Amino acid sequence: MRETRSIMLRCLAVSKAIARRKPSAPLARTILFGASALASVSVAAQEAESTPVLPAERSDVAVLSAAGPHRIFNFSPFGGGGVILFEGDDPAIKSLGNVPATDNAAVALPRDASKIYLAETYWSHGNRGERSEILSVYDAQTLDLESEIPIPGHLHVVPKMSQMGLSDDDSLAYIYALVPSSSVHVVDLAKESLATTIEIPGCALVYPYGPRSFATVCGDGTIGSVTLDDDNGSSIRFSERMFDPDNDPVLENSIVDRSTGEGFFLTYTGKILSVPLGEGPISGETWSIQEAAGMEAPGTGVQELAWRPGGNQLMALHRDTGRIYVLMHPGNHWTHKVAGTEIWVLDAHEHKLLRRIPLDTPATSVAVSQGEDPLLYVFGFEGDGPGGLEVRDATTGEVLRGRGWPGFGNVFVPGN
Amino acid sequence: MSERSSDNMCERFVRKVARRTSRRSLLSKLGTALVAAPIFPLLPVSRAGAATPDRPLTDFERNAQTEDPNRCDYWRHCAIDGIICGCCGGGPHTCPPGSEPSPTAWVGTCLNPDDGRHYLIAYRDCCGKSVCTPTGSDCRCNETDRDLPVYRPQSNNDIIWCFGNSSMAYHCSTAAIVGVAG
Repeated sequence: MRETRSIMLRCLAVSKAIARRKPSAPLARTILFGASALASVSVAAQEAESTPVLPAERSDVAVLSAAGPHRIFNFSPFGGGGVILFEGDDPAIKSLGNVPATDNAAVALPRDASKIYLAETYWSHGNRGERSEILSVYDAQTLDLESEIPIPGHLHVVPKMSQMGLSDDDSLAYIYALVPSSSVHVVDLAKESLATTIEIPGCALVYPYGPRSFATVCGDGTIGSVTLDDDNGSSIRFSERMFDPDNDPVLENSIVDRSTGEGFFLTYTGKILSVPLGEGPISGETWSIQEAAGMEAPGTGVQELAWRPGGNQLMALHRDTGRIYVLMHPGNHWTHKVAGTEIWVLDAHEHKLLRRIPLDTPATSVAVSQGEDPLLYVFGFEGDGPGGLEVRDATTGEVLRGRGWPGFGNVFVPGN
Repeated sequence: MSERSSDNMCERFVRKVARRTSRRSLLSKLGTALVAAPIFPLLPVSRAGAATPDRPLTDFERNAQTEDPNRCDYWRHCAIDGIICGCCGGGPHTCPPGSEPSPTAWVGTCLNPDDGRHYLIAYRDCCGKSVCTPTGSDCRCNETDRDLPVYRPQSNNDIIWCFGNSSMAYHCSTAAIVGVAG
């Protein structure tokens, strides 16, 4: 073998010499190529002899680490989609795994994101047959199904953050439903059973706060608040009329901090109703995010061009700093679903604009991680092509990384 | 008292009674029977009544066309959110074969540029089959003229309206004329 190799190396040297003398000679190039190939094969064969054979493998299953503050849960319950998990610090933003969900499911996470709760509808024959409504409970590290809790149902709707939510102590799930009437199903998560159903005629959606309360928005322009007693009885209180439901309604993806009860209800024209929810009367103050930016507060004109909020999950709150992030676009009234071309960062308590972050591509969803070093997630890019997820520094707005894929939906984060 | 303000007063009264009354009570049941069915056409009529000839047009109304019902800018689609059934074997008021229309609907008030009239449009979903795969590049629409949130369900275009059907499975959306508004 050593002798063969020596001959080959000699051939290689000779052919190189010929090529140097007559660089254009085809014969020399052929010899050079052939000799090089032979030498490569021989070297590879020799290396293979000294390299151990790859071992046979046993199939196993990945398990995720416990969710840190930068874990991302993208939710898109259409066409076999569901929850896709990412890590905001991962430079490649590659998928960590996913949990399937039925079309028009609803999702909620506990504060430590150790579970994933999905309100789902199944039919025994796919899209027909016997209907079963369940709250599916998944472990958020193994992504294994842990239990299925029977529930009366949930609203089938384009996904909204306020379709389902958890009490501040993560012990109760509130699930909004519209059949047979506008109501909220309350699930005791420890007992894995339905605790009660509360009817909220004239109102809709749930914004939990405190151990046993949730706010709801009503069609007459008021904000309601429901509190459960220890026996699962309930009482409801209402604010005075706080907004114009016909012309400038409160957007569904408004936010209530479930720890403090601070409510931030954003209207179509860009007013924020700051409503501290607690045991007292429900009232608050109204301020304009455009006025916070030094502009005039826009009206409801259908040809009144102004910066306006728009998108799907168009608002996010960083709880520690009281910063509110809103997707904004230039448009007329009734453009409340138009994708945002900028994100406005506002101080929720000082009512000041802190920063305007221009987006390269308009987006429909925004979320922010909680705690220190917050990351800003921008999602649901407009257009027919692949969408994606963009990770930005939530303080500076600078793009850190991103990933394109044809996605739509909402982004959930731990700690909310 | 104008028709509009009396409508508003009645609406406020009904909502106030409704939200403070258990559904199980007699009053609530009476209210449901009296209000549930007519409330859907009544509310948009009152909105349309507010529309005057000098009301500026929305961008949708400015650009709407009346020739091709299988495009998002077809005049009846001013508040539609979904897949147009015409792209799935149906038509503006026709469900595709094998699906069934929802008995309930959300409603919009759209301007027909040909005759200058506003019409009430019932956006009935077609149900019972999985989501349609449309043929056409302009079939998935999300128009939002006067679209209101879920707490005003009769004017919300995000809700799947397949209540009362054999299956809640959403297939596509139609845009049937109910009548002249106002």
